[in-house]
Amino acid sequence: MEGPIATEVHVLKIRILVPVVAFVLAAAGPLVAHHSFAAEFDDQKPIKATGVVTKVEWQNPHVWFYVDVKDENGKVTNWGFAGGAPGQLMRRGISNKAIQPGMIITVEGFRAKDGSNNASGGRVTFADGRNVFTAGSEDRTPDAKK
Amino acid sequence: MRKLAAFLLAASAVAQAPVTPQPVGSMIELMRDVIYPTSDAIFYIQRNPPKNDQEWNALRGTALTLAESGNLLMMPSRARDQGDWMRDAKLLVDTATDAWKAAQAKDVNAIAALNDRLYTACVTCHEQYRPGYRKRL
Repeated sequence: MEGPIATEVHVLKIRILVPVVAFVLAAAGPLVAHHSFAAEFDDQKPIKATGVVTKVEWQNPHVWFYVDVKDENGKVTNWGFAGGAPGQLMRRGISNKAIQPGMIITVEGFRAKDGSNNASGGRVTFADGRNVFTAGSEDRTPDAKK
Repeated sequence: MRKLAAFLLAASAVAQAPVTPQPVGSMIELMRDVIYPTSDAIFYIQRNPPKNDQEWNALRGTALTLAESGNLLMMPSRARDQGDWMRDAKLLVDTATDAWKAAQAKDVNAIAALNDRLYTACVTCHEQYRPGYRKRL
């Protein structure tokens, strides 16, 4: 984990981490079903992105939040991150006000298999260093190997 | 003449043989290729609401497909039991039927209001019957 992220809106970066979760695959049973993590996301492609929240969709079956992420060349890409169901998140104390447009957040998750700018949103770290676990309870997370 | 009579008799027997519905796809394929995309169209209706008659027609068909897929789950060869499984599948049929009617009425808000009910239909069944569901962490 990194420390508190920079508060400057335009100091944004995205890093695709080196795949290090092969053993997670070995531990995971077959899981291809309705809205499953395995069907949509590639746990060989972890992602850690920092940017500005542009939109939040607080609805079943998955909360989605969208983040403008600027790469090292200055190009801004809007990424969509899928979290757990609203009820799951609320039981963890994450309300629908927790992530708001305009916030700067760092999201850790895994990229979509279809190559789109979508990913699972496993964990969100806020500008003050707090972090919340936003994945669905059946989803894999970047630190599942720990 | 006897051959004709025998043929007609045989044809009649074939015609009267009971035809039982048989699944074409596996449960995983039914979920992944039918129920998953059609339910998403209902779940995320507010993301891309239909903008014209053509899109409403498409959504109407999608909702009907989802409702009928609940019937497919209740086929004898798919149903795991006659209790909770059938009840959960019936909830899917009923909820998607309401979505189908709302699509006929072109009512986005009515479809969006079905979100929790549809989610309940999915999750209640998954929690009981889908191996490993919500037990990963």
